[in-house]
Amino acid sequence: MSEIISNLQLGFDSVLTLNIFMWAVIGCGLGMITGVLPGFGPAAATGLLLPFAFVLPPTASIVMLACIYYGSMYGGTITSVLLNVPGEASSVATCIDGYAMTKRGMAGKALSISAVGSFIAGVIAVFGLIFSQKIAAIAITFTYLDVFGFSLLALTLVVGLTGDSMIKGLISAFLGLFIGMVGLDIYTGGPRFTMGLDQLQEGLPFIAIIMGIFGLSEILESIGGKKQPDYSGNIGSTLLKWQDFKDSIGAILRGTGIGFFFGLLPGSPAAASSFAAYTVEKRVSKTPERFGKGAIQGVAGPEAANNALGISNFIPLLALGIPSSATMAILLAAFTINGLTPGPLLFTNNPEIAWGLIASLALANVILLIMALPLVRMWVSILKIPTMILYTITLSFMSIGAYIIDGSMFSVLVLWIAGIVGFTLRRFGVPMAPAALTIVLGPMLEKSFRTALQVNYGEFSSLFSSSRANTAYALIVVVLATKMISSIRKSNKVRKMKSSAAMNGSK
Amino acid sequence: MKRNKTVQIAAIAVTALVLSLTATTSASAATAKVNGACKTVGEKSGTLTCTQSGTKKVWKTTVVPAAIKSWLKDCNNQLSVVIGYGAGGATDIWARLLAKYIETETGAKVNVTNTPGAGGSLGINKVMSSKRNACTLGNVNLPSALQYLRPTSSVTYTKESLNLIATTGFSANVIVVHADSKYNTVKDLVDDMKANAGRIKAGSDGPGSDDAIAYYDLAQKTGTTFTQVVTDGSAAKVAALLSKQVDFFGGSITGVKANIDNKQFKALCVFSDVKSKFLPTTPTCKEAGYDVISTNMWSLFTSQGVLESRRQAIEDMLLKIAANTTYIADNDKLAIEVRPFTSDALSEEWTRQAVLYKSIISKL
Amino acid sequence: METTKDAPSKFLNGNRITAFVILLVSGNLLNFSLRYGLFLEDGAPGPGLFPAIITAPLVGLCIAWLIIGDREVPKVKQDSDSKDELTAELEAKLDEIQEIDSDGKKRIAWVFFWTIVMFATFERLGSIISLSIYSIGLLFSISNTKSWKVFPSTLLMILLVTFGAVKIGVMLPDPFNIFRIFGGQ
Repeated sequence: MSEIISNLQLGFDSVLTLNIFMWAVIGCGLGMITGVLPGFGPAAATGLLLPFAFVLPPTASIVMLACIYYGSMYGGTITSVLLNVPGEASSVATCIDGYAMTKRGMAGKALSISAVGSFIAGVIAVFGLIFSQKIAAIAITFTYLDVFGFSLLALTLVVGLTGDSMIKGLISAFLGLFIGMVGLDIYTGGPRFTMGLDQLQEGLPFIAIIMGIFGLSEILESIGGKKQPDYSGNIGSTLLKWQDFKDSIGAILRGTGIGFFFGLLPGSPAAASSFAAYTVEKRVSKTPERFGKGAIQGVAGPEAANNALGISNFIPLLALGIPSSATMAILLAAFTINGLTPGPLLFTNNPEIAWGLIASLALANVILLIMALPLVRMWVSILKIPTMILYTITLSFMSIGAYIIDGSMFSVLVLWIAGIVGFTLRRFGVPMAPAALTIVLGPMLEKSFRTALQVNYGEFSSLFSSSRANTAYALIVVVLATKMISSIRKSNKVRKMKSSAAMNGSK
Repeated sequence: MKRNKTVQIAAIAVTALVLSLTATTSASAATAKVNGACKTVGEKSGTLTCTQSGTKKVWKTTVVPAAIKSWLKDCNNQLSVVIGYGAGGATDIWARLLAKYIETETGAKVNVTNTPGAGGSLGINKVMSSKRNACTLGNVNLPSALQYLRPTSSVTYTKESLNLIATTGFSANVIVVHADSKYNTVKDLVDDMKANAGRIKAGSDGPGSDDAIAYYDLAQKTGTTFTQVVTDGSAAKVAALLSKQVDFFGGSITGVKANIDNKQFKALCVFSDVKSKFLPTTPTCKEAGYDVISTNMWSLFTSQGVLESRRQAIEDMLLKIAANTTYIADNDKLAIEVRPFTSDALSEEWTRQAVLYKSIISKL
Repeated sequence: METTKDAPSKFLNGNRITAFVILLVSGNLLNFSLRYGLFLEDGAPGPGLFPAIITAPLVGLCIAWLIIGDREVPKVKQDSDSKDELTAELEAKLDEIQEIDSDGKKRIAWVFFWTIVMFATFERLGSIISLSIYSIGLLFSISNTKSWKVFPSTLLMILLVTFGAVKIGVMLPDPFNIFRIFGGQ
């Protein structure tokens, strides 16, 4: 224990210099700004700012990149809540209730709770980072088969997102799964559904798709709508009340646990953890009907999960040298550029860097909270801009965001096609949230399944050889069974209520 | 009410201004640091100091060939290097480092753009269709660029469509096994592959990828078989070996040096004709009795139709950078070997590898 | 989002047409998947297996949608006691799908028009000119604002953000080197 304290002290000593502190603040600020640009997720932000690693001293560049990553995650939340434009798939879960809160005039509250939730999740997760060596030793025992089990389990979450029409919800889910199939099949090297386009070999740019089916389709609908939403009169109080905090602390803690766990799984998409947190909250809630209509837990849970995942992602990187996401790969590059090797040796050879990074993440949490809360009022005042002007600006920014994905108009085109398809489908009651989850889950499911088979010499019976995977299968059965029972109950109720529903039907 | 709105819009605009100023400040802070870096170069070579704006001083102190001058003029002092791979990868880091040195060498601003996709060929296409003024340079990696030779390939370029400039970066592939593995030499591995035909698992980037080609070559030459486990990218390959889901894999030294240093992996042999300076104790596979070569070369090229004198001048500049000791030291940190190839040597090497590649894939 | 029950006939055609279009697309995709091959020679899953697992149910679901059209399972109305006032009020507010009238259609058409213009000019004229045309065009055609101050402030904001983006290293098309004139690199 005393060792841990002295190590942490070393970490804080190397971070708490004016110089490093300044870079941490700049990193958080830059991250927040870039995160606010639609389509500009953490990976894009850190990727763009990687060149800084060439010119700054090691601790400064790594601390700054980590803070950029951290800040951009919160920046993405801002557009999700205010404009329903998610910066990436993991913010979609926040969009659902965050934007609903905005419509209710509670945008300030939504942004504040996500800052507070992120802060709490971050602090807890940083604490977990101290034991990264031990946690990583467990994390590395997860096999492709286990990942397959968990991603299958994550897929059943879709059931909780289907909304009122199961058929339409599933159509959305399967369309999302399909989008993930486009591109080169890495197992045979052959192209799939690429229509001969080189740009599609790497798959559809899913950030553009997510922006299209959420942000763009929403904007199109509002532009076409008879009366534009006008939030300017009622942007609500930004102050969190004690009651709000009490309502969401459970969600924050559960979200933290879920996010932390998912962050350890190799290759697990962040979106799965925030959707998992969302559905868990909906399930444990006494008022599940409030979800999708501005439930504060529906913002707090996913945001906490997202942030905890962001930090637990560092564990495979620091302890094993494995980057578990695109952003971590970029951070790994920042280490290499500075001649450092992440992995067990980092803690012995460069303890000031390893512990400095841990300390800086703790610091980033505090900086971000201090920066975020006072700025909530400013962000919310964006809503005072007349709607059409706001849409004009957002549309322009979205084009920039999509353009920079691969520096060509192709992604902008994908953005618009996805937007138009999303707009059409939503008009006919097809919900888009299931698609956002399955777009990222599809490739993960397929790859973990096929690689797991190869690892086990192609024997299908091996799919039941892992106790972790078997547990996941059992949970799937439980989830589906309870859903079925509840929907049978529901339909009985519907039958009873049918006459009254018909009467109340017209609003 | 309307007045109120205008005030608010102005407030937002001011905020945006402040935000972009923040960005500017930090960007210029970085520029200052770049100049600092430039200064170190200057101190070493004794020709330049970059106390003010690093760019102008260089102009005065270095003799710039006329071909380079006209090149920079055509490009408005703005060059662009298109990378066919994502940010943070080995190619990306190699290119950004090189870009930094081209900046100090020419005084022009060099922008590195990532156009990932289709095994690097999207980036190549972009450069091929760029203007014939060499303001846009691109990276081409051997042997991954050879993918156009595969029968299923949809890649549209061939060797002839690229205007090769020069190679600076080189990394050999190395066979690694888990630190706990029972294999201590590549012979142990091959013997076990013989004893347990088809049961030894190799992590690979997919059939036809560089590593798989090397495995097939090794298997053919030793009369063994193995099971291929396809993982999605090099990080996944490392994870699969750490979790012992595969028995070995071949990866570039640049990528696995950290794991070897960390004593997570053992290096069995290097797929190269000479030992790697980063793994001085590891034999080459050839020394161990298995003549398999598998390496990576990072090169720059531009579009066809660029003036030959200009292309030659850029080549000379790259070779000059490759001889710079600071550049080599910087690459050492990344475990990238600086092994310069002139355009002719590169072209020759390309042809040689293409023949080999075709002969291996024809047997698959 | 739920189709409102107050306009059942209006969406009748739309629902079926959409279902039919997705059915055609997914049927085609299923056909492709089968052609890619469900299994490889050695019995391992082929490139078409997962796409087929995905598209086959999609075809089924579209047929189901085609059959039910816009008929929906009536929404479960909770007992009014179990639902608090706030939720009830919100449902009324959030559940309605905005009706698009002819003015709205015109506005959407304008958005498409200006977007096409943007597509045509983004790389040729550069992001600054293209986005300025785009935003001014949009402001003129979709917002009914009369205040002239709106235009410069919107333009200013777009300019600042593009400059900020370029400053941190985003590559945006700029054939006329406008960024350079203003000191950006």
